Amino acid sequence: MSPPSQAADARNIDNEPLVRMVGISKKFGANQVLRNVDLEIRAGEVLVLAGENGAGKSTLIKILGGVHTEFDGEIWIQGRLVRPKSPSDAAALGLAVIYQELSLVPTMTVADNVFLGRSIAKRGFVNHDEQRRRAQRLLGQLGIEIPVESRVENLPLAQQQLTEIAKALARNARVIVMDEPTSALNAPEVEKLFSLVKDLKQRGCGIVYITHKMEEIQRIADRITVLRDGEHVGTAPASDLPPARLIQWLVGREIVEQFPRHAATPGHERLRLRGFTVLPTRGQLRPPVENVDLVVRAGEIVGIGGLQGSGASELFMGLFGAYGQNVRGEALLDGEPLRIQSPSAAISQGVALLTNDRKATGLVLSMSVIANATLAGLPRISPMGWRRPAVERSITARLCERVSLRAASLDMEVEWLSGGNQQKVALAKWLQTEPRLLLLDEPTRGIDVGAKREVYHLMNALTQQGLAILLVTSELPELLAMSDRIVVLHRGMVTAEFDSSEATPERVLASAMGRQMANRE
Amino acid sequence: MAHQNQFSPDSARARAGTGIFLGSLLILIALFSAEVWAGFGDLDQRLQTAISGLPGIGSILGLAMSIFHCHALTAIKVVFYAGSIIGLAIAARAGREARGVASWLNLPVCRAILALVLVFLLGVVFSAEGAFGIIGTHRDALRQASVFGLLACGMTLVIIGGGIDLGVGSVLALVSVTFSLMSIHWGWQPWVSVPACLLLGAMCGGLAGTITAGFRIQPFVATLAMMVFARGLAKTVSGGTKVSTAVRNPDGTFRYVDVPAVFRFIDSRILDGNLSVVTVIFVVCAVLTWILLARHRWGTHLYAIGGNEEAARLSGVPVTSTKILSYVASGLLAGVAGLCQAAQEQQGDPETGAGYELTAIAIVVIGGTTLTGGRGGIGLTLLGTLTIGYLEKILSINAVPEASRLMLTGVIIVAAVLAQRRKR
Repeated sequence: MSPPSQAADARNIDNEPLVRMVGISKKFGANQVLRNVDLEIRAGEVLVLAGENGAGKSTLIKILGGVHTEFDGEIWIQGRLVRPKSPSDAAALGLAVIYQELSLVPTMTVADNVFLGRSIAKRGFVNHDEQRRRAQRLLGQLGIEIPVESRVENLPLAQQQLTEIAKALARNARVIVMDEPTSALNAPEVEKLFSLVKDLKQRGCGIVYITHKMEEIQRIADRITVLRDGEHVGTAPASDLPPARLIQWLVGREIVEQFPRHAATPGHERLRLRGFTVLPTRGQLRPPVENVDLVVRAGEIVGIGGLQGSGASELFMGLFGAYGQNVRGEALLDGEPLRIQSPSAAISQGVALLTNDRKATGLVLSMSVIANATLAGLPRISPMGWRRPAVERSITARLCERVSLRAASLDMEVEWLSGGNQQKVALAKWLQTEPRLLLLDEPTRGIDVGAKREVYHLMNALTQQGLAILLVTSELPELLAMSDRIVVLHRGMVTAEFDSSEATPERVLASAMGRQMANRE
Repeated sequence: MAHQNQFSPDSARARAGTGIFLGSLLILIALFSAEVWAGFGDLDQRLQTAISGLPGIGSILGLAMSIFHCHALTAIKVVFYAGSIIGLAIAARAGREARGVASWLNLPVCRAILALVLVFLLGVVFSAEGAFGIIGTHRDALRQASVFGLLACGMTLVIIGGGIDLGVGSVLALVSVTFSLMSIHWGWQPWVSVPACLLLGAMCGGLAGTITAGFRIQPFVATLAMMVFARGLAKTVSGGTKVSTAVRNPDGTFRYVDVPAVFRFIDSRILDGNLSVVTVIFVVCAVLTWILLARHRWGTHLYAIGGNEEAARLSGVPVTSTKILSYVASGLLAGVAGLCQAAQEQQGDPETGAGYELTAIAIVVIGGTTLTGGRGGIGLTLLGTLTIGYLEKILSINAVPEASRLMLTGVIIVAAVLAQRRKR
């Protein structure tokens, strides 16, 4: 491997980077997700792309991978100006992107997957023997031991990931992008992946590695590019970016006074969790939530900090009964044990969950505002099951006023509402059940600034009335400003707990990236 | 058909049938063209003109064909008919483009009504020498549609909940056989046999529902199994033959018994013979179903499940039991249809009702209830029932051969669904 001093030689023509992305900008509607970002991928090095959730990493990678084809800026590959128009186009340019959701066909064999789309065939008939031999050879070269004839669905996730890498190499990819490749791997598998990455480096591949984990960054990075709010903060050799400085780069901004949190006086203990655990489902290696201890008082907002895969959403779903009986540990609501069997049981005991994806799990888009707003509370307002349209309408009208919903008609399908107004309908649905504990999972995701402020005001008003709120948000400023206390999760376990006075972006992020805080009581 | 007598009533009917066939094809072409225009709004101008010329070409073609084969009168009818269809298609297109002005045309109800009006128009134009104007025709059209309508009401519930019930045709046969056996052979009184038969239908539905919702087997597969199983059960119960008023004696001879009173009642007419009791039964069941769907919590839950099952579950909706109940209701209504079928045929035929489930699905879809679930209603299904029922009747009074009738029905289903497709 060439020593870094050579790489520093600017006159060396071999030093032309494999890929240069210059001035990349990208908008989704009115939302600017990337602003003038530069990225340089060099042969034989690992470039770590770092940034908080929503910093624009995935968008940048998808532009490179030909998924997003409309953007401003230039992409140069080995001195040639290119514009990937589709994923297969990007593959032909030697770019392989391994997304978090793997792109393998689960019912096909490893060999078939490796050669998928470029099968070794004669007159349309696939030569399976030859494919098997070549796949075997390829995997052998990589030092991967996977039976090439087994179906991908029968393999553990780690081997699937390795298959994906082999698929990339079968296409002679020079640049391999890995989006959080270790999120589903255990320690020995991670080691294996790292040695493979090292091997790929030596073959002269350029690797872009996206991760949230500090220890991985320190181990694997040659250079680090940091994005924040869609902007390029900077790029530096890993040696120039010790963790403290990296976190500073990641967090950066001043928290503007856009969050109107008026803390209420906390009342009695509303929720107490002791050793709360969500059991792993088939295919999961470890429990998504493990041994969580937590207290929420009436009138309090407790924020749960964490990066992707922290288990915060799973904690909510488990608490809400969405996993049925697959939870362990103790949960007390107002001192009485919470019966966790099903969402309907949770609702009847005064727990409400605003899910993090209003379209997929929050609302029935084909139903009217009234039907959605009253859906969770129908048993309370329909005696013997008979609906009372007039009552439903007046209840909905009152709720809409509380959440300041603006809809042309209460009978219109929620599909046609804006994101912010849809979110307000989802909130109205839960207010209608008159909960004691409100679980908010990403309550402001994808809604505009005005609607966000209204949601914050509503949260204030609710806590004034004595409601307890648990808040999960991937926006660090929101978490810090709206929470009275912050509990940080990493891989399903609590790594830190802060009062709002002692929480700083740096400390929260450091704990979210897996640093155990020594001062935790 | 080698040497036709030009003046025989048969050939006149056949010509009228051809005319109907052509006319209906024109409807389809018109509907389809409106659809294509909307889909390719920003296509090349010339291509658009060519596509929009289709109904014109169709009408000229129809005119030529009718001059060749039919009376001048029929030819004029066809031209008038084609003209009105083109007009409607143009109106449909204009409505779609002018959004606000005629956005009502985008409502499923309006489309379903439009389809029914078109079919009625068909009946008025091809009235088979005034047969369409006789009240008996309408009474019979409604009576024949009622059994399908009953099945379609149950199917609507299941489809709105995101499922499908292929078992209704066989359950109808099973109940029909059982009802005949109880009433004719065993001499049971109706207040025993009717509840027993309805219970049987509901149990079949409940079993299929439990298999699909409780054990999470795709509804298509679970109800397909019920379709095969119930058919077999019907044959077992009947001993493989029709259960009729000819009762076999122990010595092998047959004796004939009276048609049971309950059969005669169901098959009778009221209002001076102008309305069949079967139709009344259908309307009552449809109203009850509508009340449950539109005014009971259970119906709202069905819509929620069909629209977004996960969101419904996370809103505390009891998903499994709600779904099972929808299959129970479907089985129950298939049971009611089975009673009607037995009474009208005055026997229990284990082979009856084969393929009825597909007609029921077609009715639901033509009405505008989406197969993906979450949208639709009993009102739409009523319109669909009338559309299909009248189409069948009009074709039959004009003596259109069954072969063309089937083909035409297939085309109409596609056209109706195309017309019902939601626009964004």
